[in-house]
Amino acid sequence: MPLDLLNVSTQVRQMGELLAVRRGDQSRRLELLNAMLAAYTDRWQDLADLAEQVKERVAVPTGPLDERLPAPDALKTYTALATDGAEIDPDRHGGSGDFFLINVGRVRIPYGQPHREVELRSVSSLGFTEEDLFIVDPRDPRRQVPMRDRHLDALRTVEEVKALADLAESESATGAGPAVALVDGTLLFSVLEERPRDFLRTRFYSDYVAQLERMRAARVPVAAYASRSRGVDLVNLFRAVCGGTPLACDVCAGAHACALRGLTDAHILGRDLRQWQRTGVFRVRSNVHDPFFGVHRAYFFLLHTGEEIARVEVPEWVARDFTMLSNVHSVLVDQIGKGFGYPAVLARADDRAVISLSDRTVLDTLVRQELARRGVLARPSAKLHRKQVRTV
Amino acid sequence: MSALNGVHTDQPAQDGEVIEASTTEFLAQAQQLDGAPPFGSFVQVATDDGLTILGVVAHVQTSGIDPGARAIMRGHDDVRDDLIYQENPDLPLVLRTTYRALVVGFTEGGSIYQFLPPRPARLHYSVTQCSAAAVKTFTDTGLDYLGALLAGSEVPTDELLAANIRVTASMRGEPQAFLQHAGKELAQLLHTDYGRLTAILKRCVLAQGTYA
Amino acid sequence: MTRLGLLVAGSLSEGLAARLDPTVPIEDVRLGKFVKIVGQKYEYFCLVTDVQLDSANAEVLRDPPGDPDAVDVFLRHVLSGTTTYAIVKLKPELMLANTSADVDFEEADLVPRPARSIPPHFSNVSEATTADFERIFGRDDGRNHFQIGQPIDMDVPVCLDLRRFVERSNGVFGKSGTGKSFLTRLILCGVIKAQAAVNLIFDMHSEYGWSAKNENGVEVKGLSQLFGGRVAVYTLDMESSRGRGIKPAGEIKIALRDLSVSDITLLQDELKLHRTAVEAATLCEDKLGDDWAAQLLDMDGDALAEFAVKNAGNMNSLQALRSKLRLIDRLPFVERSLRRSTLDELIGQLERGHHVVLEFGRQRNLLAYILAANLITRRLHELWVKKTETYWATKDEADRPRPLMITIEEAHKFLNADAARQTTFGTIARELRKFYVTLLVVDQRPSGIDAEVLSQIGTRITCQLNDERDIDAIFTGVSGGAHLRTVLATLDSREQALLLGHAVPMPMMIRTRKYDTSFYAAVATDNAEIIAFRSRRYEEIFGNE
Repeated sequence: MPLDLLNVSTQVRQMGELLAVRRGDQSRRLELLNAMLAAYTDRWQDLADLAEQVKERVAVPTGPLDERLPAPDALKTYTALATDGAEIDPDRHGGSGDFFLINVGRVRIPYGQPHREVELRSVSSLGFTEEDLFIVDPRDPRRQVPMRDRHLDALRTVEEVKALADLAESESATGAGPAVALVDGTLLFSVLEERPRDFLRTRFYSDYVAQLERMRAARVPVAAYASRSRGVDLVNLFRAVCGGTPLACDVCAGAHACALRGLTDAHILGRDLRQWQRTGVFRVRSNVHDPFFGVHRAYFFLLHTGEEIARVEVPEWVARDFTMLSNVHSVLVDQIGKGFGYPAVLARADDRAVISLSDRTVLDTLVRQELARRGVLARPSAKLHRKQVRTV
Repeated sequence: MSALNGVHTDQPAQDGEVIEASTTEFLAQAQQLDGAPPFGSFVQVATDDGLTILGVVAHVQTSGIDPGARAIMRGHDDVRDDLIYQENPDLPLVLRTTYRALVVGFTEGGSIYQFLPPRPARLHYSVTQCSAAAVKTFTDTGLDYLGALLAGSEVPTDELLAANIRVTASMRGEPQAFLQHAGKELAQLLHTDYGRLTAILKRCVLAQGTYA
Repeated sequence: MTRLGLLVAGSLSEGLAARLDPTVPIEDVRLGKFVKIVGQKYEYFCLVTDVQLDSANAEVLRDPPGDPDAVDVFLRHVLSGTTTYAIVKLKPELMLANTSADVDFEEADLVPRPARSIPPHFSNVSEATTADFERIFGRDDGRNHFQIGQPIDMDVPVCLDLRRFVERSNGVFGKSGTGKSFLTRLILCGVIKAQAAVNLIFDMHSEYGWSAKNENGVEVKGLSQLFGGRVAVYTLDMESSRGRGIKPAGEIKIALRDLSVSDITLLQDELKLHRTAVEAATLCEDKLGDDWAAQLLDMDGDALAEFAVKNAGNMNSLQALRSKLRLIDRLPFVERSLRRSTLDELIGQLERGHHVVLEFGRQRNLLAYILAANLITRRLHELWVKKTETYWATKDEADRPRPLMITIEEAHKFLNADAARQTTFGTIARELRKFYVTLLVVDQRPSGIDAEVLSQIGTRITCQLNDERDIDAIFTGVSGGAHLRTVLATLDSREQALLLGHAVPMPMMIRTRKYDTSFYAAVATDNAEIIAFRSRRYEEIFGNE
């Protein structure tokens, strides 16, 4: 109610006008870039060399830029694995004490295998011990960081791939046909560091990579799927090409701003990509992630779903294995079809992961009851209480 | 598979679980997708304290488990009907069949009563189809329960009455005698609405399209 | 006890209405059926006076399931008895204490008496049982109760209470051909067997005394065949009687001097006499004494004129009178004077308690019938009045006169409005049994009978009647008759009758008892062999005179 709608609506209109202008501007700039793209299509090696020298995170081409691969033949039989997660943050204001909840949805759907069962499960775990609630620097126990906000996110991400690795291992043990493991988003998740020590990244990335390793050992390809990708890794590479200074750039020819500004990889690569086709793979060169990921360095390709361009990231051991990569492509095509635009198995996993408001209330009640049984009175902070019971 | 109009077959009793319950009805989820007992048939829920609640299946529905999730068309090319289920093996886990049963009576301590029980069914307890013997015993007591079916809300009452009468007639030994008896009972209940009475009676056709 | 339904509506004044149970076929509920309603304190005995179809819902009738296909057949079955049903109209006649009720009853409640209240809603209505009939109508015990027939749909006896029957004058009515004479025979047999009264039957068609043929041509027995010596047959026409193989006990002749003015009055219509002629007869009787008729007849023209002038009589009337008197004079059984009166013998028989049938042989014309009947009855009446007065004086049981019941046919001739006032029959009818003489009138035109007389007719046994006025006449002087009109109108043309009146506790529609060999066996004082023997002996003794 308190929104100043009059004010906001004016601003929304202004935004609309700007969008229109931007769109028009965008097409113009893409035209400008055509030439440059055409020039570099085959000079991918040069681009790759350049990429190694740039500090920022960029994409590293592994083949001609205009590589376009159609969807392979559909697999008659395969198993799709997916996980997704959600969390409940420890509520400082809540009276229920400190704990967090991570809910992971696990999905296994065997296709073309009628004798096998489908798994749709949620696994919820509560974090409440000291070790759960605080991340301790192993080298200096005095340094502790509470497991909240982005760190909890990171923990959740790790739990997701851990569950995925569990699925992959059991799947592999059955000896059934090909399987593909999917997660939503990116393999290259971020963990903010607190200077001067690097213990957070160590903790999370190591755990994460360990799970990827399990999947590699199980020979189950894993991929991260990002719908309507806004990745700019390739754009950043091109920025490096022109130095990022519009004045000096041939393309921009002294324009006000760099033509690449506001464009995404999808803009550049996606224009002649047809439905179900994918681009070639690009390695992601990230100074943050590379030290930890090793053979699990992330590669990506763009995939046209028909309605949008998605970005699919795979570890190197998948990117370099043509069969695995092919299976990932084929499975994604099938899954997106079944999921009406988004991989069905991921959607199922998301369904199982989501924590609804009523779920939160139930949990809260459970906790409160337990505390009450122990004689601990749980009361929300004044601020939260005021939020809960609004007075005038 | 089941034959016309809920005529009694040799299908094993379908199980389900109560997921909502009130004094006048209960909602059960069928064990298997599309596995609800036939419309108009008798079902029962036993509780631990000797009370068994009897209901009549009044409405069956299949939809997504998530309240917000809607089924959309999945057929394409030659893939139709059961092939769709083969192609999407996760469907049975995200769909469910539920059925509403109107409470028509209960048994307690060996006695049968055809009015509402003192307590509703218990959640998560099993729902089973009533055997032919149980149906016979219940309907031998009387046909007062037809009034409860007539009073059901948001169910197709006329169809329900006809379906229940058909199912019960075929489960009892002498269908024509029951048909007449039930018909007369209905005539009493609906004596002010002749048109409705005849509409229901016309639907009480036994197998082979006969009434006797 | 077959339950028929439940009482649902009605009133004491207009009759009760019961809803028929669905299991009872509507077609089985007949008019006149005897039913019982069990109330909380009393049982009510009723007759069915109407059956109606009704429905709970008018729509059914607007769109009835009339097709022959399976659906409509089913619908009809379902609707019958629920949405569509029958209402039976009942007239409560008698009430009786319900002994199974936990109530203290007075003496009066334990016998059936006219219904003065009605049972409550939803009382059970059921068919009356044999036991109910016996409670109400009594059992045929050969004494006070005589079985006259059975209800239309049950095999149970319906009995007349003979004591009450002979307390009043009674009537057997019905259009011609409905079997009145058989009914009359039945009743007479009952009265004779029970010795409830001594009977004199004016047998116009010579059918009661000895055998006659029924409508199927089968011979049936007469009263004297059944009761032997207790019944004597006299005749006005010996030749005719003998010709039919009968041996009457005597031939009756009437003396002209016994003729009185009241006879003339009664015979006005038959003789086609003007009123003035009757006045002339009065004048003659006055002036000429007992033998006036003979004297008048013997007067020639001059003597007549002279008489007329002398006595201020009307010549024409006198002449008319005289010419009609000649008709009477010429009747074979009329004599100027009698040496020996067989009539006295006849009367003597009656006094001794024997029953008499007076045959008319060929004299079955109305003139003869009315004349003889009236004359004889007048004598009997006078005699009985005297006896009664003696009895009242002495109060000696031995002096009590035997009750006399006189059977006359064509009663409306004797009892029409005019005649009733003037004749003995009217007097007898009005006097009840004060003087121990009653009538049994047999007639097909009850509307022709004077209303006041009708109202004194105690018990009416009615066969089929069509004429509205005749039907009205039956119910004159009877309370609550309106309901029964329908019942009366639906009687079969033979073998069915409606009993109404003093000798039955409540009106009842019956199939009349058959007048056949089993009946003979039931009533005959002796078995058939002895009867046959006696009739042979009779012939031997008196021969073929």
